[in-house]
Amino acid sequence: MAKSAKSSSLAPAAPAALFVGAAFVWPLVRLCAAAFAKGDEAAPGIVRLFTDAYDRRALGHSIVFSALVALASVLLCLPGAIALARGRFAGRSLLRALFAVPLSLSGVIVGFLAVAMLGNAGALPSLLHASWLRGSAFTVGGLAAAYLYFEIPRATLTMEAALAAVDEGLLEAARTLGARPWQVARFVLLPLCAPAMRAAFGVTFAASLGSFGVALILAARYSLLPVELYRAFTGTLDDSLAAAMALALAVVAAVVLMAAHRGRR
Amino acid sequence: MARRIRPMILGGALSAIALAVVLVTPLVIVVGAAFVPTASLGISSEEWVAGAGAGRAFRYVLDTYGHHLAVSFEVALVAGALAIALGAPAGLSIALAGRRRAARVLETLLTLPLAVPGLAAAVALLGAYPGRGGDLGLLVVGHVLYTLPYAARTVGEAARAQELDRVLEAARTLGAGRRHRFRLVAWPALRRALGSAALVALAVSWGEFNVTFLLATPSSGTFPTALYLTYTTNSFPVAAAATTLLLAGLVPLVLLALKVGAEPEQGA
Repeated sequence: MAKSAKSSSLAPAAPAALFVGAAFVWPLVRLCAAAFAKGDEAAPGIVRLFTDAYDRRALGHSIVFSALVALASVLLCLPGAIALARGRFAGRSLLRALFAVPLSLSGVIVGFLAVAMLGNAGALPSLLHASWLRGSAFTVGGLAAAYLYFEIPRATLTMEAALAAVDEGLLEAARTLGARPWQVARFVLLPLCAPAMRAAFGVTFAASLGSFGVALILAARYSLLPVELYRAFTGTLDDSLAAAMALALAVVAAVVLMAAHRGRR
Repeated sequence: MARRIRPMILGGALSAIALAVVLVTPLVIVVGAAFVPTASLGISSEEWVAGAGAGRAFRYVLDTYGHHLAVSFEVALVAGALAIALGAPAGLSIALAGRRRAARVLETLLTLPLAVPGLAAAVALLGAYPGRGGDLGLLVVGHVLYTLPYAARTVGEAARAQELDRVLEAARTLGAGRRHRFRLVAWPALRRALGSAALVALAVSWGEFNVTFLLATPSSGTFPTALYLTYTTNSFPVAAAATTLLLAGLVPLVLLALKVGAEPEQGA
C-alpha cells in the first residue's frame, strides 16, 4: 500500500501552518517575554500576578468559579446528553437545535440575557412575583446562573458527541448478569460516561475561564481574571501584568483541556 | 433489548427539554421586547419603557450602529474565505498523510488556538504587532485563528471518514489525472464538509466578541462590539432590538450548519 509521494505531500498545509505560526505561536512567545519583562514597574508582571494579593485572588476566584460552574453543568446536563445521544424520539433534532443556538452566543449576550431576566427591572421577578429575585443578576448567584446558561449547551453537546460511541449492550449485559440498578449505574454506566464527562468538564472549564463577556456585563463587583486583564490592558496600561494574566489564562485553560482529553480514544 | 433502557432515556429527555426551556425563554423575552412594549413582558422599569415601540428601536439601532453591521458582513466573509482557503487544503493534506509524525504535529498546531481563550490571543496579537489596534486586517487575523481550525478539522474528518486516501489512490492507478481526481473524486466527497465549514466559520465570526473587543476600537468593531455599546449606554428596547438583529444573522447560519451536518460550534 505504498503511497506516491505526491498524493501524501503536506505542502498544502504550509500556508495554514505559517499563518498560525505568525498569528499565534510568535505572539505567544512575545507574550511570555512581556510577562517576564520588568518594564517600568518594580517587578515583572508574572511575579506581581502571584504576589499581589488582589491579582492573585482574581486568578484564584476565576479558577475556582470556573471549576464549580463546569462541575455543576456536567452533572446537570448528563441525563439530557445521554438521552440526546442514545434516544430515538420525535423532536430530537429540534431539541438539539435548541442547544446549538445558545451554544453560538457570545458571553456579552448571555450577560445581557441575565440582566433582562434577573436585572433590577428584569422579567423573572415580576413574572414569578418574586421580588427577592430583583437585581440578582449582579449577585454571585446571578453570575453563576449566567455562567451556567453559558455552559449548559456546551456541556450537553460535548457529552452528547462523546456518548455516541458508548456500547449500550454493556448495560444490558450487566442487568442480565443480575446487577441491581444502582450497581449498573455505579459500575457500568458511570465508567462508560466518565470520558464524556471529563471532556465536557475540560471544555466548559476553559470556556468559563476565558469568557469575558459575561463577566464584563455582570461582574463589576467581583474580580475575575478576564475582567482584571481587560482593566490592566486598557485602563492602567500595565502591559507586563496584562501579558502575565493572559499567559495564566492560556496556560491554565490549555492544561485543563489537555488533561481532560487525555485517554480519550 | 433497548426496552429496558427506555425509562432512563425518558428521564433524560425530560431533563433536556427542561434545560432547553431555560435556554430559550430569555431569548424569546428579549426578541419579544424588541417588538412589543416591555411592560407586558414584566420588564417594567420606567426608564426602559420610555422610548419603546418596535420600529423605533430598530431604526435607532440601524441609524446609530448600522456601519458595524457592514463591518460584520465584511469581516465574516473575508475571515470565512481565508479560513477555508487556508484550512481546507491543510486539513485534506493532513488526512491524506495518514499517521506520519509531521501530520500529527501539524494537526496539533492548527487546533492549538482553540485551546487558548480569545482574550489571551488578542492580547498576544496586539503585543506582537503593536499599534494595530482598530486595524480591520488584524481583526480578520484574529477571526481566522478561531475559524481555520474548524475548517481544517471538518474537511480532514470528512476525508478520513470516506477513506479518501485510498479512493484517490485507486482513481490514480485507474489512470485519472490530477484534475479529474480533484473534480470527480475529491470535490464531490468534500463538498458537504466545505459547505458546513464555511457556515460554521461565518457563524463564529459573526458572533465573536472576546477577540474582537480588544482588537477593535469601539467605532471600528464588528456588530458584537456595538451590542456591548447598546448594553451599556442604551435603553432596554434598543439593546433588545440590537440583540435581535445579531440573532437574525446567527440563528439561520447555525440551523443551516446543523442541517448540513456540522457539529455545533461554540461562540465566544
